[in-house]
Amino acid sequence: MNWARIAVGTITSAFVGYGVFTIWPSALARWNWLGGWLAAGIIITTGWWVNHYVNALPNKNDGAWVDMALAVWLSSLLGGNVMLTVDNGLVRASYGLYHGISIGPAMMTIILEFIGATIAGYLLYQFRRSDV
Amino acid sequence: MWSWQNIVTTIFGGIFFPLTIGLIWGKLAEEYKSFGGLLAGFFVVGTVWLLNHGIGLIFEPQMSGNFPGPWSDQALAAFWGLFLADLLSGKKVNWEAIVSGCLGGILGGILLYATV
Repeated sequence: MNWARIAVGTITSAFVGYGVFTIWPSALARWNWLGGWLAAGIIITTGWWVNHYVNALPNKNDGAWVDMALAVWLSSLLGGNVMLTVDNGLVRASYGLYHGISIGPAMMTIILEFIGATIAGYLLYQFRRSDV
Repeated sequence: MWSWQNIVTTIFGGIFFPLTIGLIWGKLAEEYKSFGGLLAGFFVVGTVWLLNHGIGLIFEPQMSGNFPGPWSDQALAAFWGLFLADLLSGKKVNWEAIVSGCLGGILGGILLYATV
C-alpha cells in the first residue's frame, strides 16, 4: 500500500465526486437538458484527465480497472446534491446518507443498476476476447 | 411504484453506460490522447446521461414525493461493469485504487454535506 498515492487518488476522486453533484444539478437547473449535457463535458473531462489520463487514481496494468465513477456514485449517495440557482443562490437539491436518510428507497435502483452492469461487464469481456 | 417498464429501462441503462464507456473511451483516448477524453466526456457521458438521468431510463422514484432516498447515480454501473470485465479476464484486485476511490467518495460526500 502506497499511502501517498492513495492520498492523491482520494483527493482527485473526491474532486470529481464533488464537482459532478454541484455542477450537474446547477447546469441542469440553469440550461435544462443542454446544461446536463454540457455538465458532463465540463466536469467528467477534467476528472478523467486528472484521475485517469495522468493516473492520479492509482490503476495498474495488471489490476482490474477502478473507475473514478466509484467515488462519483458514493459522493452523491453519502452527501446528496447541491445546486447553484439564479434566484435563490446555493440550495440543496437532494439528501444523502450523511443526513440520516435510509438507503432502502434507493435499493431497487441500485440492484437493477448492478444487474445491468454485470451483464455489460460480461459482454465487454466477451467482446474484448473475441477476435472478430 | 416500480412497473415492469421501469425495471426494463433501468437494467438497459445499467448495461448501456459501462458498455459504451468500455467500447469507445479507450479508442478515443488512443486516437486523440487528452482530447479524446474531452470528446468522451461530452459524447459518451453527456449523451448517455441525457438518456439515463435526463430522460430517465434509470428510474429513481426515491427522488420524488413521500419516499425520500439517496440518489444512485449511473456511475455505479460504470464502475461495476468495467471492474467486472477486467476481473473476468483474469486481472487482479488493485486495493490501492479501490481504497482511493472509496475514500474519495467518502470525502466527496463530506464536501457536499458541508457545502449547504
